[in-house]
Formats: sequence, C-alpha cells, structure tokens
Amino acid sequence: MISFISQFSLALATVLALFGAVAGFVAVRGVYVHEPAVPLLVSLQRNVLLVTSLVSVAFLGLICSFVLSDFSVRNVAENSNLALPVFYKVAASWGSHEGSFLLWVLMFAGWTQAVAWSGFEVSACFKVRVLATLQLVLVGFLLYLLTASNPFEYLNPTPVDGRDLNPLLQDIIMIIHPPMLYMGYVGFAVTFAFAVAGLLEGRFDMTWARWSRPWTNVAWAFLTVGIALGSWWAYRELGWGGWWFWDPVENASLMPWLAGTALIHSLAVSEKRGALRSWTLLLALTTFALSLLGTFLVRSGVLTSVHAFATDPERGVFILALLFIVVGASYILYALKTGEVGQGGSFKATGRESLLLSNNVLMSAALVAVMLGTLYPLVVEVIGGRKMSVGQPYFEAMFAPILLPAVLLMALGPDSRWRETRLAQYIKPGAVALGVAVLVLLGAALFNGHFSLLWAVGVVCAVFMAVATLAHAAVATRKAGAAAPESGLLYRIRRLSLSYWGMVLAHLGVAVFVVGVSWVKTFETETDAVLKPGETTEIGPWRVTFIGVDSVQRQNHVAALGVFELTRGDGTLIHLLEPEKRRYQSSEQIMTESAIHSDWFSDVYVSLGDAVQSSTSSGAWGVRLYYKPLINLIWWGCALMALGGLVTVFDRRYRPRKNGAMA
Amino acid sequence: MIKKRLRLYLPILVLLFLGVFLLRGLWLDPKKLPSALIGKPAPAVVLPVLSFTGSEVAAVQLADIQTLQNIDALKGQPWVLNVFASWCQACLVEHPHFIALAKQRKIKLVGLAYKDDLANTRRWLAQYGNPYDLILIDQQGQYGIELGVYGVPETFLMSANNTIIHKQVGPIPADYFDSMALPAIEASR
Repeated sequence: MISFISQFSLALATVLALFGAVAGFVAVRGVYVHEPAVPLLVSLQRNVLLVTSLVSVAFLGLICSFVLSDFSVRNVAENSNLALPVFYKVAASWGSHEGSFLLWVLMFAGWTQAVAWSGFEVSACFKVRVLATLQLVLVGFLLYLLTASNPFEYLNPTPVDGRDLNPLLQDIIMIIHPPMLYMGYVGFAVTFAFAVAGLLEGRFDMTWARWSRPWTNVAWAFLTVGIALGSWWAYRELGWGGWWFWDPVENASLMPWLAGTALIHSLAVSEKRGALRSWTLLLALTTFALSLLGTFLVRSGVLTSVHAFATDPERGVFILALLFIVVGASYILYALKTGEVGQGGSFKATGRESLLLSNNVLMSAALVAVMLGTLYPLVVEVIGGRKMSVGQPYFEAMFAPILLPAVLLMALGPDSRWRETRLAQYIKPGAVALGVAVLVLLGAALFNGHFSLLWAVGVVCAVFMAVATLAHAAVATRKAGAAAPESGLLYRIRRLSLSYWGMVLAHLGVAVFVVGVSWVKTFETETDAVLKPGETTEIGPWRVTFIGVDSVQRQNHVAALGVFELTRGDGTLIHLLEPEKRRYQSSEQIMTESAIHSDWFSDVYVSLGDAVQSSTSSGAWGVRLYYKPLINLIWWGCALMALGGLVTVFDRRYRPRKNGAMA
Repeated sequence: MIKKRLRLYLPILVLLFLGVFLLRGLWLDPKKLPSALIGKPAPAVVLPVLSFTGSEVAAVQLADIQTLQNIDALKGQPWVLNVFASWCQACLVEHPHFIALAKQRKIKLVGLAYKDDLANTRRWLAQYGNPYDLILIDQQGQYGIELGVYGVPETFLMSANNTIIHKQVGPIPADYFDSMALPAIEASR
C-alpha cells in the first residue's frame, strides 16, 4: 500500500513537473518586459511546491517500507533485513542504486524549492525560466526512476527475511555522506539553470553573476563536506589506512569539485569586473555536466570501482541519454547564444583578474588530468580492447605540480587589486610571509629530524599562503576601524564583508589541508605485528599493549573485540583501543573495524587481523598498526573550506531587498 | 569571426567524443577480460614452493625456499590457481570465499604469491588464514606474464589435463565454485 502511494506520487510529480516546465517556457514568451510576470511566477512556484511535496511523500514512503521491513518491495528485500538496527534501516533507503536515485531526485526537488522560495532580487521572467529549466531536468530523472530504476518494484513471492545492507555501508558516516555529496552535485543544477536562463534571455551581466554566486558557494560547500566524509569513511572503515585512493568514483566527485572551485573564482571576476563572461558561463554548464557524469560513472558500472553496484547497460544508457540531452542542449544553446554575451572589461597581467584566471587555468588543468586518468582506461579498452589501469603515481605526479603553484598564487590573492596591481604591492607582504614559512620549515625539520622534498615544498607553500592571508586579514581589520578609532575588534570584523571572511576561511582551509597531506605522506608509519596478550609494540610516539580478545554478540553480527592499551612513551597517558573483526550473519561477510585514537591532530590506528593458530603462540593475534601524524588536518582543512563557502552566503549583498513582489 | 563561432561548438564536440566512448563502454563488462589462453594449456614451468606451516611470521630466509613444483605435475584433477598478493586489497574481499572453499575440499587450491615479499606473504597468510593446498612463488611476475595476468587477484581454473578453462578477474564471488567452476569443468569434459 505504502509503496503504491509512493509510486503514484512519483508519477504525479513527473506529470506536474513536465507541465510546469513546458507551461513556464511557453507562457514566459508571451510576457513582455514591461508586463509583470508575477502571476505566472506565483503559479509556477505553487507547482514546484506540489512537485516537491509529492517527491517527499515518495521518499518518506520508501523510508517507511524499510522501517516496517516490507519485503514485498524488492529494494527492501535486497538491502535490509529484520535484524538490521532501525537506524540503518532508515539509511538503507538510500543504500541501493534505486534508493540513492530517489534521494538524488528529492535533493533536486529541494533545491528547486529553495530557488522558488528565495526572495532574491531577480526579474520574474528570469526566475520563471530558472524554475522551468530545473523542472525539466527533474522530469528526466523522475522518468528514470519510473521506468528503468523503480525503487518500489514489487517482489513476488515475498521473502520472509531480506538479504542485508552491505556491511560496508553500516556506518554513521555512510548515512550522511551520500546526502551531502548529492546536495553538492544537485546544487550545481541551480547554477546550471541560472546559466541556461541567462542564455535564453541573452542576459549575462554582473547582476547575473551576483545571483549565481551564493548558490554556487553553498553547493560547493556541501560537495566539499560530502567528499571529505567519503574520504574519512574510507579511512576509518576500509582499514587500509589510506584516505584517498584515486578510485574512479572518488575522481568522479573530485571533477565537479574542481570545476566548481574554478567557477566560484571566475564568477567573482564576472561579478566585479564583468570579464570572463563566456568562460564563466561555460564553467557553470560544465560543473553540472560533471556532476551528471559523476552520477553516471558511479551508477552505470562503466568503470570498475567499489561503488559501482549495477552493471546494467539499460540503466546506463538511460542516464547517459539524460546526460546527453541535458548537457548537449545547454552546450548548443551556449554555442548559439554566447556571442551576444560579450567578453567584458579588459585587465592587466598583474591585476586580480589575472590571478583568478590563473586559478581557473590551474583548476582546469587539474580537472583534465583527473578526467584523463579516469577515462583513459575506458578509451583504450574501447579502441584496442586492452585493459589497463591508471593509478596513484600518475595522479600524484600530476597533482602536486598543479596544486602547489595554486597555493602560492592564493597567497598573493588578497593583496591584489582589480585591473592592475603594482608589483611592489605583492613584495612586502610576500617577503614577510615567505620568511615566516622558511622559519617554520626549519623549525619543523629540526624537530622531526628528517624531511622530504614534497614535505618541505608543501609546508612552505601552505605556511606562506596562510601567513599572507592572515596578515592581510589583520591589516584589513585594522583599516576597517579607521573611521571609528575607538571601535572594538568585533565591530571591525563585522565591517568587512562576510564574502571576505569566507575567502579567508576557505584559503586557510586549503593551507591546513596541504600541511596535513604533506605531513602524513612523509611521516606516516605502519607495522604489522603478532602479539600475545600482555605483549607490547611501539608505533610513533605510542606504546601499544595487547590485552586480549573478547567475543561479542550484537544485533546482526558477531564481533571479535580486541582490547589494546595505549600509552605514551613516558607511560602517562592511557587510552583503550578496541578494534573489531565482525562477521555479519546474513551475508557471512567479514568486516574489519579498526580502532583509532585521535588527539585532534594525529591518529594511531589499530586493525585486528586474525588469530594465529599454533601450539607455541596461544592467544596471539595478527595486528596492523599505523601512526598518522597530523592526518586530521586534512579533515579540518576540508571543514574550514566548507565553512568558508557557507559563510559567504550570509553576505549582506545577497540579502533580498524588501520590495514585496518576489515573496 | 567564423573561427570564433566554431570555437563555441568545442564543448559539444568534446561531449560527443566522450559520449561515444561512454556508450560503447557500457557494453564492456569491466570485470570480464579477454583471455587468449582459455582453451590452451597452462604454461608449463617449474616454480618454487612457499613453505608455510601457519605459525611462523618471522622474516623468511632464502634458504626456506627449497622445494620446486612443476606445473605439469599438477595434472590429474581440475585445480584452481589463485593469483594473490599481500599488497592486494581486493584479495581480502575474496579471501573468505577461498577459506570457505578450502573447508569444503571440493577442488585443489593453488595460490600464486605474485610480485610479493615472502615475509609479507607469510604474515598475510598467518593473519587471514591459508586456504591453499600449495603456494607457488612468482616474485618477478614472470609466470604472471605467461598467464597474462592483468591485475591481482585473478583466478584461473585448470582442467585435469592442465588446460585453462576459466578465468576470473577480480575477486571471485561467494558462489564461485557452483556458478563458475562447476559449469566450466562440465563443459570441458
């Protein structure tokens, strides 16, 4: 019954969304510029609300089916079972291919709703076109759900119990990772729709860029969080001690992120200086295109990956066709209309525009590098039938030389001026920051005893950039209070725009991230050991003592629970680490749950292997230990970046003015 | 001016180009690899045997490798050759299936320790269990080349007269024996 209602809601939503899109596009042509389009907009907004509600009903229905263990729904029977804790039953709703697409659609409807509700200052005609574009894209995905990938497919005969949710996905982070990632992917659809509407109206001025910016920033922030969570999950759950594997699926999410990063910066140029318009437009379309490509790569099984669940050509063809229609149509529109857009103002090589353009060039280079590495094996296979894979060495060799210059340029960013900057303007703050960076490097090298080239370059770049950014922020804060000398610090900070502080936070995030990566790459250590109860081994500054292993029966698995005592070299600090080895009853799958002790910056990481059976070593277990210095800076860096992206949204400039008409 | 116009069509051309490959790629099973060797005899060479009793984890001495095994001498019954390595993450995925298969004693399991440090191989086996009746060593990857190994893990099924009758690239499924090995053995008879 529930699944029937859900399915019906989806079908109804499809019809309504199609109607809204077509009616919107057709009706808006009849609206003259001077004629208020408000009634049309209001009715379209109501239509959007209806569609969003229907999609929400469908999604709630799916969650109910999972919670109530309705195994007459194939999706539930295959991805849940009676013993699964309720928490995971809810999460299993988006654990499968079909469910995750429904989540995708829900997010899409949610973003459309946000656009419909937002009171920002746009002409009604423009907003109608944005909403109609979004609705049209949504129709495509709703059709996919209804035809090729029905999350409510009926299963007959109904099994007594379901299979199970993939144990790898039974993790708290895995519950929030996909929604965050999708929020990002789908959020770029808003920027995409803005670009399409802009092209349709031949309107692409500085106001256009200002409207697009907050949406792009939010989407980018969500994507950042989504990617970071995925990486954190892989680090904690897979038990291999790595945090980024250049897996095609990880790359698939990195590509829109890189394009989005470029877009954020070129939008700044377009808004402030009206330059780079055509390029910004192309980026806006491409970022969403890459989000779709990411969805396609992950969900079609065209590439081998831990995430690629289904290898069903029919589904793949559908998504590919959707990608083609959506992206192809927008690119054709771009080719036809962008001539009207014009290039905008000129600038000199030393101006801020040039720095932001270099960011775009570097981000695009990184994007092309990732795309080549990800798709090259496929191309080779299609042409020559030969199998090959592109691995970590390629990506690392490509990435370091692209990203480190980007970090250096970021240091100069805040000191630059639009159009033209006197070089002297860069020299003083640059020299100071570079001095500090070298001192920090020398200090750290002395402290650590040894160092590597990558580490030295990474640390210098990151510290240089962080110091330059902070110094600029300090000077700017002081100047902001110049008019009112008695003003407090808080007042001065508030005088500067939130866009500025967002930039500072995000750039500092990059610096923190780079330090974390260079540190971990250089100083991480790992050992394998076989320990009998009572035996001790050392890793990094830690001493790890093996206490023993207990067997624990839980709701849906049995766990061998290892207990380890963690002491600092001097024996003062004590923690208990409890890594597990789980056997899930329904799937007979064995999962390793590593235990991590984290002191905010560094991690010590213990993975339990297997009991070593022999007469001489009773009770001995194989153990793998990692020491990961400063690895948490990677996540802190990502968090700062995302926070920076979010903060900018609250900038005064993006707040709607009160004119009532757009409510 | 015309040139500039054409440039604007570049994105759509790139899209079309990529699209052709993506579309074609959909019909390629990423897990299925062509093997020129199916139906051909397993390359007959002599390989060193890894001694492993299950308890030792200490670093191995070169002197440990004494026995040699001729692949030809394995004729007589169908057997499975699993190419594995301690550095291979995907091997851990299929490892429980091999352990289960070993317990059922349905078929002879031979492991090929591929491009691996022997001490690591032992540690790995000690940690995760040893399902193999026999472990052969291919430290330089020479035999791997002759077999056409693309990546680890790969699993070859040999008939009683040492013909390669099936090849699985990537981890074997839980029902490998029933769904892949048995039909291949039946078909080869």
